[in-house]
Amino acid sequence: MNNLFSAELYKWKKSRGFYVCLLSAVCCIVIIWLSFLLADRIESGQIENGTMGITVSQETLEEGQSESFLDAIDIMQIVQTFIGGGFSTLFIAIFICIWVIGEYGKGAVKNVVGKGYSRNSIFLTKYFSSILISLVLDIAIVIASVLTGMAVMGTARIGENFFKDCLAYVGVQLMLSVAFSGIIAAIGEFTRNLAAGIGISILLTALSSTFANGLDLLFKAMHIDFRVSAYWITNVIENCPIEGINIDVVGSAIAVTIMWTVISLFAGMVHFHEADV
Amino acid sequence: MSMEYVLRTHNLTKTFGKHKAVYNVSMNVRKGDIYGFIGKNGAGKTTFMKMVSGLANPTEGTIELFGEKSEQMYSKRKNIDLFGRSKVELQRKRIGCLIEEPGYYPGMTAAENMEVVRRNLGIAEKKVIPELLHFVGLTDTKRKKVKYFSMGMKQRLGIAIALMRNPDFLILDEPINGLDPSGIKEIRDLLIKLNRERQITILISSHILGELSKVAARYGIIRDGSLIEEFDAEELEDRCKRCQKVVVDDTAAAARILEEGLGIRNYDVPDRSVIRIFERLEEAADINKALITGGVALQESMLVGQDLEGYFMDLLGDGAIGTKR
Repeated sequence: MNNLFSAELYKWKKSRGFYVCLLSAVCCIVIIWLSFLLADRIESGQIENGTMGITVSQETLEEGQSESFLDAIDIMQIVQTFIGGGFSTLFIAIFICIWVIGEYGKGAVKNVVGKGYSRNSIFLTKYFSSILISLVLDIAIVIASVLTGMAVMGTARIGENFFKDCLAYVGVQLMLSVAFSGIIAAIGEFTRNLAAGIGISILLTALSSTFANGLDLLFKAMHIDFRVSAYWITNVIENCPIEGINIDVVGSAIAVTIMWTVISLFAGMVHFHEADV
Repeated sequence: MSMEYVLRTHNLTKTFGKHKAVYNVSMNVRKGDIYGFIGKNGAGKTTFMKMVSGLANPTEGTIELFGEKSEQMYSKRKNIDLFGRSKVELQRKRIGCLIEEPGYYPGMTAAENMEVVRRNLGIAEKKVIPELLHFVGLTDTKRKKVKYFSMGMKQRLGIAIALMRNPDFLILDEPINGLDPSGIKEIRDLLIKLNRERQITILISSHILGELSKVAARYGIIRDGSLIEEFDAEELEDRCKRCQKVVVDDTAAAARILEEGLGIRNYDVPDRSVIRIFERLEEAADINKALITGGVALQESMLVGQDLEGYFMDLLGDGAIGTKR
């Protein structure tokens, strides 16, 4: 399996798609932060409203409220938006689909299947390399969000518990990301078609939590005491708090991560084992 | 001395729903042979090759590779090692294959693609890459990405990848498909070189029967998923040999006339009433006359024989073997 992993690392290093994905994510984060800065300058009257297409409405500003747009937000909220709000999961879903399904596109998987390795070890290598890549993407998104935020808002806004909260939040999110990327890797293995894989993954990222919430309401109406959203990965990612992460939150995240990692790994492995290449 | 086989399959079958893509195929590939695998599109050649190379699981039957036999039922196999590999899977390390089109990463160069395969296979020596690229004539591609390669270059890269672990057995599915005449010749020369210089056994399928007959030592004909016949190149040549075929009531008396009366020695008796004469074909009328004069009842006399392409077409299609011309 070491040989297989070494080849995966080499492909990763040579993957232009990864760098494009990483750069796109970082650029998006920088652009969003810059738009906040621009809105703040417009609000404070330093720049004319409408500059670069950004219009700030001040009608809703209540008396006594700060006129600074940036005062109303903090870095952790933005980190939460990027990591837990579907931004990083979208990039991860797209790249992992390309990563896994790309093996089938031009038949490169034929160069490793039937070469003395068990199919289980081949799938495991792909699965774990997908997780590793998703963690790197997540970490890059966090670093870009925090550093750009600090550059835009200044370090004076960093509270004493900021790094502690940030580390705890990112730690839980990275753990959940393992299960999420595993699910996407399994979807890639099942579909083996780039359009279908990306389409299903985007649907999963964008709509599945709403669907889970809908099921919660349905169960509630039926007087069934079961919340799907408490166990579905994208809901848990979205609902992870940015402050006061306690043992209950961590315990629940660990349980959900283990559950979905095991399910996706098992399903993907069985499919890869039985399906023809 | 018993014959050494690289590949033997026993009643190998693959079904997709109700469709039997490959049915009860028992193939024998001898060590050192170039085995030509012939069949129409959809006859089951690729499916068979995929099963042998581990890309597809058989529905029934067994595969014997280098003497190691697979389990009967793949879904219930027990004879596996700690890593979940069967003995046949371990023997597959000795196989190189190029099935359908070569597997490659289009955004990488030939050397980078080879590097991925080198790492996958755990080959320590890096020099194997330039050596193989030189062997298949791709040394000059340098930084050119594979997506810009011609069809022939991609096929040669596929062969280089298949040769990466210095295989004892090479499985090539339509390796000359889509190539121009010079590309076909290049691949043909390469295969002969591999067989002669490296003693690699080759199983090759192709539609271009004339080309196949220039390299193959043994043939297998597959039709509608079933292997209908296996024969050697000499046998094929013999079957296609032009001869005078006579149907008589008494072959012993006819043979005596041929030998004693006409001095003909080059003939055979494949059937109780048939004699095939391979010499003096231009004197067919005289031979017929001699047989009749000698008291033999001559029921039929004809000149038969085909080129290889015609013979294969008869086998693959609905025609009978040894069609009259």
